[in-house]
Amino acid sequence: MRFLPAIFANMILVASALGFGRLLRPLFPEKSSEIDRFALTLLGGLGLLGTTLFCVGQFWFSRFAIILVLLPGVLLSVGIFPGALRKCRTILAIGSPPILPLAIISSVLIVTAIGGFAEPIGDMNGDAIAYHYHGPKVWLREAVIRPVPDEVLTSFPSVVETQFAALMSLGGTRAAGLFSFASLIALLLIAASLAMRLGLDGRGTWWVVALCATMPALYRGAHGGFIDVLFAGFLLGAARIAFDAVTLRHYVLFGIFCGIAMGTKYTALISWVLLVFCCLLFSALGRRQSLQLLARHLGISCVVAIVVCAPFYLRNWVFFGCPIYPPPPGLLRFFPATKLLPSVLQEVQHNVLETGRGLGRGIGSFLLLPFNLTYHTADFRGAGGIGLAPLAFGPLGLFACRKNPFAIALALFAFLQMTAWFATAQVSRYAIHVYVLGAIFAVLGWQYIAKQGSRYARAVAAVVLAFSVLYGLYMIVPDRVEDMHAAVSPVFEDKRRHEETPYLESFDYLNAEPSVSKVFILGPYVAPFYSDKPYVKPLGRWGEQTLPDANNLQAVLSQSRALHVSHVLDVFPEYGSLKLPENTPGLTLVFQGKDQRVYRID
Amino acid sequence: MMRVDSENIFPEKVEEPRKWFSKTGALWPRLIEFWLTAVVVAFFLIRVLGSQTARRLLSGLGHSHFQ
Repeated sequence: MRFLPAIFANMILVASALGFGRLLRPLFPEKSSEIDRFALTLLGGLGLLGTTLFCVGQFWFSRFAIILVLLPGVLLSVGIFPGALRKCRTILAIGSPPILPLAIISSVLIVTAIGGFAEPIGDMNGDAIAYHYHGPKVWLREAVIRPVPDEVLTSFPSVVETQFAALMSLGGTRAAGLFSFASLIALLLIAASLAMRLGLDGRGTWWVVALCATMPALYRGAHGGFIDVLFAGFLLGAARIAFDAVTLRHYVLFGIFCGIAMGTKYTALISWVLLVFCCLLFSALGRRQSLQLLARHLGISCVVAIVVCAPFYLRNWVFFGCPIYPPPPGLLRFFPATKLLPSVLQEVQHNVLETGRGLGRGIGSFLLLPFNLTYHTADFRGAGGIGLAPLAFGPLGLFACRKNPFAIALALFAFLQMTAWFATAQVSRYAIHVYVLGAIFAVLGWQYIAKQGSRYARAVAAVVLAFSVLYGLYMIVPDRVEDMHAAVSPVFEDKRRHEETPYLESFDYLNAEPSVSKVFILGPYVAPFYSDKPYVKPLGRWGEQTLPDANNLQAVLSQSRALHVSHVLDVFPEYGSLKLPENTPGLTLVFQGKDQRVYRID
Repeated sequence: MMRVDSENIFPEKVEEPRKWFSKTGALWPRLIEFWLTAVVVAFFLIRVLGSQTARRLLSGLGHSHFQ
């Protein structure tokens, strides 16, 4: 029973996304296949839905408002359901599905679905608890989408987070976790679409999907509140359209997908420029249209992309005077963040540089990138790597497709994207779209060997593929065992929740106590995600100051009446500058646990 | 006005590599075999033998051998 709201919420959201995606169908190329259409409808719909929720949420973000946004999408989707079964059969029948890849994909999807039901846990070191889930929870409580003052990263673009909010509103936090299932399917669909476009048959396409599903580095971006798999899906959708674009409608669709990607993550700004460059280059070389017409079409696609992502950047401009907020290190000279404390900016930038350091910046490191991405992915936060297949077969796949302009365009985009990734932030999750392209070229290379290689080469190729898939499963499944256990066993889930969530007893007390109206959370590293009650956190984890004189305990406490704060949560050893002394006048101890105390303000 | 077509929306077939093989004789197939073998051996050395579990096992074996 506890899973039903999560399932229901996800079904409503996906149905609504399919309905919104249906609006894009007139823009699809006439001769695109069923799988192209389905993948682009789902991804485009998710993007449009997230953007619409964000725009409406600037003014009103109650459950009723969310339902009003979802409803037109659901109604639009009703029209496509009669044909949906037929389409599903078409998709499943890309060839008759070979049993082995089907079993592999199914096992990963089953693990994702079951693990997705687990309640989110953890501390501020997890991005989901710190901001991907925390922002949506606060937006729902405040009934408006605003950056959370004590967590600067909630001002990032939020196409996916707004959908987390809709899911939480309809089905609780489990629903947001279960969304990983739909996200992963959306990415696998666009991977299949690209694989078929590159000339792979049904069997090859199934193997592309199986390789993608068993890449631990890709899978890591699909669950636990990460948005990277959907982000990669939006970029691949843009690439799918860009390199076949001929008419204005196609370029408009390309612009929409680029805009959605830029509304999801700042790193898409670079990807957008690269996609436009590759599209310009290959359309010009292919002489499919005059240069003038091409420039006009690409110009229009850029305008569309800017319009689609504008709400996210305009919001930051209005609130912080800086569209890209907080600005990454390279953009600081163009976008001085005057409303951000220098110390906060320094902390955030230090973290960006630290997490994106990877294996260094030298030319040697760059040349070793394919090797390191395969064998040393932990250094890129790669969660177990991308498997052996892209390194082993990828070059052969590229060789086999060397006269296919679409393949060369994709390969150039992948190369430029990895160069940009290497020069900016070497975090594995940010390169998931390139990993998908790697899997496609890998299967192309494998088919090349299967057709022409010696018996020995074919045997070693089978070993490579087996190692890729088995090692991927070996990394993925044990990583999700606890989530699956928590999903099926309420006793284990409760035990795990108490073990891995800091200060949970205090939050349980505060959430259950009717006299609590608002809470002061004094520790900067305490996760306010777990508070169901409104709270004020004077100091954020990056040094954000949400109150005047936020480092002064007396000054903070003196504002409690004006802020309608009724309780104070104090934890140890995480004091910082707001250290609450014993027997502070005006405070009554009402709850005490290990390393945590709750006071009532008299 | 240039011709606008949508022919290349359809997938091109992967190029038949037979001709290329015949031109390069035996070198190219041997190169592929070597490359694939190298990738598997590197995986075995780095990811399998280089893993924490393998290191613990190997150090355990070494320890018991020298006692």
